[in-house]
Amino acid sequence: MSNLKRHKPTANNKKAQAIRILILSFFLLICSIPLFSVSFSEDISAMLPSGANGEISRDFALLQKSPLTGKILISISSKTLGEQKLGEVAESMAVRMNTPILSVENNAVNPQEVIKFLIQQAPNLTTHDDLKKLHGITTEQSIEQNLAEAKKLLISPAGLGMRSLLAADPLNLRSIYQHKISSLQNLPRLKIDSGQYFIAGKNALLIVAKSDIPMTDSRNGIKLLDRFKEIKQITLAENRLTGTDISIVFLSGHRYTVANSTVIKSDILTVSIISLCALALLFFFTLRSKGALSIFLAPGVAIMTGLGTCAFIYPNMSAIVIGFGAVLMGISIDFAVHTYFAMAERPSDKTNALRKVSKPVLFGAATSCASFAALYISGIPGIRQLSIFSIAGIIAACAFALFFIPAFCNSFLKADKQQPAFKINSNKKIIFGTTFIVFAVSILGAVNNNFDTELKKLGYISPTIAATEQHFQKKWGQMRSRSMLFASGKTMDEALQKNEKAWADIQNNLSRVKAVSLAPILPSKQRKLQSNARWIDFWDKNRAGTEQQIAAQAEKLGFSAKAFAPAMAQIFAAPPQLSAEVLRSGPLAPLAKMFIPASPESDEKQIITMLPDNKLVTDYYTPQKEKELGVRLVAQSRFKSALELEMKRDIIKFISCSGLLVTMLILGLFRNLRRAALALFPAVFGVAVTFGLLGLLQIPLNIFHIVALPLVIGLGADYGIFMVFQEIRALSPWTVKAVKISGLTTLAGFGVLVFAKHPSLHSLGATVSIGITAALCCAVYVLPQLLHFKEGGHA
Amino acid sequence: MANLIKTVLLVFMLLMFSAGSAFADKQSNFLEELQNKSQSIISISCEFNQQSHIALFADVIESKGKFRFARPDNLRWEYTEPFVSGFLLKGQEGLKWDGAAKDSTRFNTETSPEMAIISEQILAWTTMNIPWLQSLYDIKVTNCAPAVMELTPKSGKTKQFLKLIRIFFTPEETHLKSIELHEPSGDYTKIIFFNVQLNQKLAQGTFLKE
Repeated sequence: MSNLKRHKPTANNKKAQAIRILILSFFLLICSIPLFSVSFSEDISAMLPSGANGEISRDFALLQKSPLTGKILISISSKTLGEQKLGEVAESMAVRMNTPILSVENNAVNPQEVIKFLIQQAPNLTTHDDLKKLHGITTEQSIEQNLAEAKKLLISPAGLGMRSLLAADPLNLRSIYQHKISSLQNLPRLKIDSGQYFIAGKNALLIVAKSDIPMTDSRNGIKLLDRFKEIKQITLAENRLTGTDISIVFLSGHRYTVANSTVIKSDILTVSIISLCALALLFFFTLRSKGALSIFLAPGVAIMTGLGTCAFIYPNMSAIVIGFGAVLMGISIDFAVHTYFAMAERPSDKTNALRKVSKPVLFGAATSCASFAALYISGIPGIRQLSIFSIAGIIAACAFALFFIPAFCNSFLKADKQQPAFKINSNKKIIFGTTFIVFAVSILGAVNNNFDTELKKLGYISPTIAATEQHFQKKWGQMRSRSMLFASGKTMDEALQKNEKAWADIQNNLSRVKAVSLAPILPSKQRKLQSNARWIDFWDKNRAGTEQQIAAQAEKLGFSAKAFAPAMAQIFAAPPQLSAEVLRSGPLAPLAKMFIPASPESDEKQIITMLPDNKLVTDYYTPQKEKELGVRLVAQSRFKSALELEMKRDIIKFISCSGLLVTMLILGLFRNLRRAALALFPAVFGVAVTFGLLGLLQIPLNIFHIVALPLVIGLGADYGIFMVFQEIRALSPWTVKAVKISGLTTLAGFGVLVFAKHPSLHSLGATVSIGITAALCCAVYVLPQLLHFKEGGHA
Repeated sequence: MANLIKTVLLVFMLLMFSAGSAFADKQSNFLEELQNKSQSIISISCEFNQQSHIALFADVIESKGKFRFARPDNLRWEYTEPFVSGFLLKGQEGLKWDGAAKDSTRFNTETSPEMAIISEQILAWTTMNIPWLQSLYDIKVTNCAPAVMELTPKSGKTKQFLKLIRIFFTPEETHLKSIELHEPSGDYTKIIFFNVQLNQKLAQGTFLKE
């Protein structure tokens, strides 16, 4: 502690200090006010680009309407147990899923009820082609044949459960109208047991369950996981299957939430310990003064300002933005470090010291602001919030450094006069050569970069979840890889018209594609009226003859006189109601719920047609085709490529904008092309090495790598500015030290995030570690070789 | 007096309990015996007469047919009068035919769940797979000599079309004499088995049909 300079604060200083503490407290209080009225959202959609005309956000919202979204999928599989046994296990599990935490919807579809419904709705569903078939089944021969068939069925064991259906359909109308749902055979096969339905696959059954616990609720998510484990254990014990090869696994958003929450907690602990140790070591070896402690207040001030400003502008803030904004604000410590070292250089003349340091600090802050302002042109709403958060934080941190640090810091380290400002290496060629090679290799490596647009990979995926995902991909991959064709309209009828048009187009142009649509059983108003007219006209002409034939043949075959009277009365009755609501409440309700997403009254109505997610389908639905039909195809594969393209555009857009703004600012500051280029060099080098190394290590870029880039640009430029300033003004060892400490603080503060297991924290840590290390090395070791110092730049 | 009533009541309750308990034991023994006997059955060959009491018909419809079974899972059920139709099953693969149609139709129980249910039910009634029956029905032995058994479906779905199955055994309890399938509507079907041959060698091609 011998090299510590203490400057006892005078009474005036103490008063000034107290006033500033009050001002700072008041300011922080003001910043906290908007936080009381803001709502926080954990929705990942905030981190997605909206795309051209909001296409990506719209598609993401539509993807959420997929039938299996938000459901809990439980796969039961075994290589040795048969489907029947698996069914018993599934049923055994399903009956225990009877609490709001974990329950199974009763989605049983009764085939006979479905056929009865279709026969009943025949007046609404009769097409021109169906008329020919109606003529066919009302001939004398057909009536005789169909009634004889009905008699055989009634007598045989198969007829046991078909009595009411056969009585309701003496004409065999079902042979015409059950084809209306033939496309449903392209859905996964359902196995129905005791009112529960399970989806059957190869040596596997799938239970689709639900929970009232929100998928983002990590605390209660644990209860769901425990409940599943409990049910699984009881089921295995009850069926005496413990120790067999049966596998019961489940996948739902809750599992990811719990895994992420657990790993983030563990990461925070690990990273905090490493970070605190690193910062303590840094403090002990470089700062070692009480006054320097106020430097560490800077991030707090920046975060509060960022939060308050963001909350003031955005009533709904993304929780992800808050998390990352808080981490990014770690850089705000830099301005305080530079101010502190300027004070340390001239502790007795703080005013001059402040004057000397204020220009580079202000320009450093300006370049950082410019760098983060570039984020505002991003198409990602969360990134725009992050931009506002960061700019406000940087301005506050800069103000804190210039107005509060001089008042709060009264003890400083002594400058070691013997220590040179720079050690200019005699082996310039080696340094330049190495820099050139690293730069060139980085540029080459950067070419190999690709984007990881898999949204779920932004979160932590534990080895067990990864294994479960593989299992689901293997057993149920085909079922989950479907695309959805949305027909939307302001009214349900408008949606239905588009849906009809799209279905007709599929039958004409994609007839070999396994598509599933409700169009044949849910016609638009106009089609219904046409159908009604056909039906009524047909029976006006054929009623008497048909009734006569039925009566005669029935008597001949031994049926009672009034056996088919109710059925015939129904045929001639007024057409029944048919609408989305009727379908949702009828025997096809489970399917109707899948294909007609529920929407609030005011929202537009939608109908889904299921299609495979393959190239044929995605290539067919071009923007022109979609416009022509008034539909929108949403497929995971298409969404991923659109997202990738948009993210590439976004990154190019805001990196170019950031680079341009920072370059212009630096040019304006130095008014000298060489100096400006030198000041920019650490930033360019840092960005190049970051991209290069990630490319060489084959780590795909994600959104969190990208949001950390302005940090590298901003901080790299700051280091450059401070170093180039040494060429303009008297060379000071304190400035070099300040640059080094700034870089090391940044690395100790959140470069250590590279040790985190959570991919987003790790990505941020990796970007910062690589970029800042490269920029710092460039600023401290390469730049001095290129600068012309006025006075002894070396020992 | 009060004590006397209490004693009488107690004795009555004990008697009732022991009678119930004895009946339960008897039923359990009967089912166990039936299961043991059924295990020794390798093949069944018989004919049947069926009476369908169905409200849709003016009169009771009488039909005739044949039934064949061979372990482990071969089944043939066919009607010969008043029309020709039937099906056979070998494992999961099956074939059904109708006299009116020229060709028979192949089916697989995995893809034709209704055929799977029908064949499972026929196999269970005729071969007396007691544990399987117990998993689906509440079983009650209503008469011991000759034995009569009543099966009430447990599942709500089956209850929709089947109220009760009443099974009548021959006095020797070696095989079924007849079955009554009662429906919730009041309709019922009675199947009377005759010419029953157990564990006889069945003709080649019984479970094959061109």
